[in-house]
Amino acid sequence: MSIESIVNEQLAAMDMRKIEELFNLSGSRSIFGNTSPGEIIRSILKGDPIFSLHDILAAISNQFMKEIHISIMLGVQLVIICIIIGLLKNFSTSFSEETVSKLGVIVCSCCVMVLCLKSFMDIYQVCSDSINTMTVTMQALLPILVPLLISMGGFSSGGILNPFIVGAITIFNSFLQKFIMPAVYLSCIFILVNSLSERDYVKKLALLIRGIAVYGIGLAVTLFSGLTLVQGLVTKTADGMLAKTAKYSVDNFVPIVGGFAADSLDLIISCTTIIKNGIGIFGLIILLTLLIIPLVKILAVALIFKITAVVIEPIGNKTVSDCVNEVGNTVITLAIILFLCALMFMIFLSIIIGIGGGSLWK
Amino acid sequence: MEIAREWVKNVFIIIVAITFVEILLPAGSMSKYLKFIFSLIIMAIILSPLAIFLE
Repeated sequence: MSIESIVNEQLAAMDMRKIEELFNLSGSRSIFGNTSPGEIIRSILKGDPIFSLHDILAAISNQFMKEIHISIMLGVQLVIICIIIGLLKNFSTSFSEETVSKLGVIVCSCCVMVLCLKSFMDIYQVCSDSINTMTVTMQALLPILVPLLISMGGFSSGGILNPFIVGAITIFNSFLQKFIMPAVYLSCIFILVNSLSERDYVKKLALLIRGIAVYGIGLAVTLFSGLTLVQGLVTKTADGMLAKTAKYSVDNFVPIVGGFAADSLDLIISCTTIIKNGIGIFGLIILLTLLIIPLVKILAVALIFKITAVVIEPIGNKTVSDCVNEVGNTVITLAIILFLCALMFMIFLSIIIGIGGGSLWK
Repeated sequence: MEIAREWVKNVFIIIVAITFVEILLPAGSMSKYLKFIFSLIIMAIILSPLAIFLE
């Protein structure tokens, strides 16, 4: 009975259609190539690398250039509007009244506002969708991972961590969708409306709301991942005791064959651990893709905003340039939110992966 | 959520309206005072959610 045959037997009995579907849905194929939980487990057994760094970097940079190409139109439009604003300002003396040129500038600012808001809405949607898909992925992975965890002897880990992590994910998702993301959205609207007039009416308010959103998510991530981490450490020790006791009693209280039974028990538990880790790594890959693809898009748009702000600073007026710069910062805030969310989910998965089985119990 | 949406809508509309009105104001000695009153209106709108806590 080799390790591979045990692993294959156990893998065949499991239903992993849902996470493979999520793998296709998330577009992981374009970055990580064609892979499956079975293949990852086989490469773990053989000690092969799971993916090649070179291909992944090439895929990511390709994606980045594509996104830049898509969003460069936005930058060009903004620059054109700002050139018009500059012209209007210079021509203000040749109009009969100054009011006309001022009105023209404000209409142009409104155009800038609409353009920025439209592209921000797109980014917001992408970010929100991605967080939702991450949540669905975690909710699909846990029912597969936790039974494996319990079957390899992690009774208290599985029993305590499962409700804990599911609760944390659900609360975190609705917290993000209901409070944090709308707050960032509000701050973007305030920044944009502030660009209409020369005076600052609501700039500090916008920055305050954005700051609260960032602190809020930082606090939530620290709280949830810290609590889960500590809980995981405690239950891991408890499970280690349990598994060692079981092995010891089989070894000593079952006459003659007890030693062999205890050893094969250990083998089977180790195989389950390998399967659990393979599926966990597969989940991590899905989460990584769900992070990387939107992140590349968001950062490309943020870069376009920032470069546009630099370009229009000499020609346009100060308020518009500041506003585009701040919208770029807000887009980066969305990227930070997405990153922290993915980081927390990855911490959850790594806690489950990190819990060992068989003689790995410590 | 509904309150926040209403609040942002109010702030947005008031600031856009005031920006346009400020431009169309005739330049005179009164315009300075009018601008100050407009700022007070914006401040009142920004503080309006606080009224809920005071009730």
